[in-house]
Amino acid sequence: MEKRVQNSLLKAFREEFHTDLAAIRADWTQYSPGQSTNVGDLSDLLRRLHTMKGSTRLLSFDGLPEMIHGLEEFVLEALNRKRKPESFLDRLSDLEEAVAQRLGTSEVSVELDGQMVTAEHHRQDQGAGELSAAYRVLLDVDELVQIGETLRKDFLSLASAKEGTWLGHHLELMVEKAKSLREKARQMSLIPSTELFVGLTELVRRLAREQGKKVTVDHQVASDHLERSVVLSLRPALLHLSQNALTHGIPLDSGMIRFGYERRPTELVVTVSDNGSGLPLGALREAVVRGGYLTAEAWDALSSDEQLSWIFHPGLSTKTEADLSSGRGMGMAVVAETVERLGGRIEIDSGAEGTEFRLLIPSHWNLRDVLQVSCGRQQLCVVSRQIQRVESAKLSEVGEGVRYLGSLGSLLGYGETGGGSHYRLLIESSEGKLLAVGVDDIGAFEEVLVTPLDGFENLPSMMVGVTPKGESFVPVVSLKHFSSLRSESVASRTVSDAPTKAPLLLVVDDSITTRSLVTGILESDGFRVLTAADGQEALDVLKTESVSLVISDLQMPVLDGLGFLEILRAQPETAHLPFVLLTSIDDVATFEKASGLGADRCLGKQNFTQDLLLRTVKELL
Amino acid sequence: MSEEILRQRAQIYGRGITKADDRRLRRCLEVRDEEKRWLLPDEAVEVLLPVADIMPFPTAVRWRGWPCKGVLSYALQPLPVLSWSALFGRPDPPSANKDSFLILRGSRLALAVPGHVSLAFEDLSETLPEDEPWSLGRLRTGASILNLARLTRETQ
Repeated sequence: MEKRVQNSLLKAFREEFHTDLAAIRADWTQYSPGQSTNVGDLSDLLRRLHTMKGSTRLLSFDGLPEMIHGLEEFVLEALNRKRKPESFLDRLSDLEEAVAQRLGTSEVSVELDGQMVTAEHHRQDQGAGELSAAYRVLLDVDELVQIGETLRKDFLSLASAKEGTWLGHHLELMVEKAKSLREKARQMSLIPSTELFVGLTELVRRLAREQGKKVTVDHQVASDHLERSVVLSLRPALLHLSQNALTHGIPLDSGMIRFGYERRPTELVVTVSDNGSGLPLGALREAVVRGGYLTAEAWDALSSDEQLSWIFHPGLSTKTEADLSSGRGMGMAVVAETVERLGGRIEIDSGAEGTEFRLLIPSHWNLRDVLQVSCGRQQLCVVSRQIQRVESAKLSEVGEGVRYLGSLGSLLGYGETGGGSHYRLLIESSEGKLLAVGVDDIGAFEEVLVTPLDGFENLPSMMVGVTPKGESFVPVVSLKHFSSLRSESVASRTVSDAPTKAPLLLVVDDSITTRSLVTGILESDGFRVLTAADGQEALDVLKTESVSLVISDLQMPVLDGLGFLEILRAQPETAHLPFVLLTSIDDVATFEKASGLGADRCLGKQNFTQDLLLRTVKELL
Repeated sequence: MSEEILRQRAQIYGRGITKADDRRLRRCLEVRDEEKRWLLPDEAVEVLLPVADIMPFPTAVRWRGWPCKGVLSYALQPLPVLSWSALFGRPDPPSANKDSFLILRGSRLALAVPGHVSLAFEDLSETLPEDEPWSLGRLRTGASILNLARLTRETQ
C-alpha cells in the first residue's frame, strides 16, 4: 500500500480505536449481568468490537483480528452465563498494548503540502472524529487571518500619522502567511472522494483469495472533496458492505464489486454493488424466525422492503457460525448505525443480477465566497457573488436611483441593531435597479464552508445556512431574494422615504401560512414587519422593539390573542398601541369581547382581503 | 469540546457504578424547575454540556413548532436549541445565559436548561397519572418523568 495511504489509514484507525476502546470500557463497566440476558444489552460494545476487527484486517495487523474475535466470544459467553468476569478489562488492556505495539510511536505522521508534519493523537468524541481537530486548526487560523486584517485596517487608518512603512509591510506578510496556513488547514479538513475507498480494493482482493474467489474491483468515483469526518465515519460501513458482498453470493470465478460515489444537490451518494445472486431472503427469514424475532406468518406479512430492512438488525446473521469476517450479525448493524448517525438513509436494490447498497448522506457542507459583516453584535456572512459593490457612506449620501431596503440585521428579524449602518451593500435587482442594505461593519472576503439549516420554521429565507466560527456558527445570508424584488414592491423605500422611517408592525399568528401572507402584503406596501408565533413571543419582541401597530390572531398556544391584548393594555408603554384582531372566529360575541378589552379593529379571516388589511392599518397609523 | 464530553460521560458512568446497587433504580438526569423535579432517563440524553455558544435566531424561528433560540455546534453540526422555559410557555428567566445544554439522543436537538442539572437514581416502574402534558407520570417521590416524545412531534 502507498505510504501516504497507509499513514492516513493508521491515523484514522488510531482515532477510531481509542474512541471505541473508551466506549467499550464504559459499556462493560455499566453492564450488570442478570438484568437481561440478550445481546441487546451489549450490542453497542459488540458492534464496536466487530468494526475494530474489520479495521485491523484492513490494516493487515496479523493476530489482532483473532484477538478481537476472542473478545467477542468472551462477551457472548459472559452474556450466556450471566456473569461478568473482570478479566475482560485485562484482555482489553492486552489488546490496547498489542495495538500500541503495531502502531509503534505515540505520534502519527501525515503528509501535508509536501511536508511531513506530526499530529499528536488525542481522543475525540464519536462523530466529531478527525474533522474536529482539523477544523479547530482551520477555525483558529481563520481567526488569525481576521485579527491580521483588523490590525492592517487599524494601521491604514494611522497611515496619515506617518507610521513606519516596515510595520505595514510586516502586517501584510503576516496576513499572507495566515491565509496560506488557512489554505493548508482547509486541505486537512477536506479530503478527496477517492479516500472513501482507500484500502478497500486490497482488502477485497485479499479476502477473495482467502475464500478462493476471483473478483474484479471497479470504481466509479466522481472527483470531489468531502468533509473528512464523513469519509472517516463511512469507511467502516464500506468495509462491512464489501465483506458482505464477498461473503454472500458473488460468483466464485467472475465476481465483481463496484464502489461508486457521486454528489447530488443535497446529498452524497456512496454505492457498493456486486454481481451476486441477491440478498438471501430465505436465509434471512429463517434467521429471523429461528431467533424468535418474528413468527413465520408475521414475516410473510411484511413487504419486501420491510423484510430487507432486517439485515440491519444487530445480532442477526444468515450464517449459523461466525468466522473472522462475518457471522456475528453486527457488520450490517454498523452500516445502519453509521448512516443514521450521519443523518442519511440506505436504499437497496437486490435481485438475481446482483445487489446495490446506496448510502445517501446529506451534503452538509458547500464552499461559498462571502463577505463578513456585522450588524450590532450579530456577525453575518453575506454571499459575495450578489454584491455589486460596498459603499462606506452616510444614509444621506445614498446615490440617486439607489433604493435603500434597511439594515440587514433588521431585515433578518434580529431587530434594529443600533450600530449605525456605516456601510451599504449594493445589489442589482432583476430590473437592473440598484438596491442597498445597511451593515454596521465589514470584514474580509472569505471562502467558507456552509451547512444548510433544515427543519426550521419561520427562518428568514435569506438565511441559507451557517458557517462554523470558533465554538459556534455564524449565519450565512444570500441577498438573492432582494435582487428578484420588483421595483413597485420597494417603491416606497426611496432615499426620502427610507424604511428606517417606515412603520414597524408586529404580526402575531401561530399559522405560518397566515403570518407569511399578512407579512407579504404589508411588506409589499412598504411596511417593515416583525413576526411572533404566539402572545408570549410577541411580548418578548415588544420588550426590545418599538412597533407602531400589532395584528394578532385570537387562538394561539401559550398565550392567546385576548390574553396578549389584556397584558398590552395593562402596560403603560403599550396601553395605546393600535391593535388589530385577525381571527377565523368572526362572531359578534368574540368581536365585542375583544373590543371591550381594547382592540381597535376586528377582522374576520373569512372576509379578509389585501385592501381591507392595508386600509385598516393605514387608518390606525 | 470532545474532551469535555468524554469527561462528562466518564463522570456519569463513574457515579453510576457506585450508586446503582439496587437494580430497580435507573440513572436519570434531574432538572429542577421552580419547585418541580423533572427526570430524564439517562439513555435519552447523549451528553450534558455545561456551557455552549449559541448562534441566536430571530425571535419567530421555530423547530417543529417549538420556539427555537438558535443553534449550537455539536460534533460540528448545528443543533436546534430549545428553551426549557419556552416549552412550558414561560419567558426565559434572567439567568438564561447560565443554561446547561442537554443533547438529546436520537432527536438531534439541544435543550437549554436553566439552573442545576444533577444525577438521580429512581425507580421509574411505578408512576401515578398526572394532569400535565409534559409528564409521562409522577413518581411516589414527587418527581415527574419528562415526556420527551412530545418534543419531536411535528405539531403541537
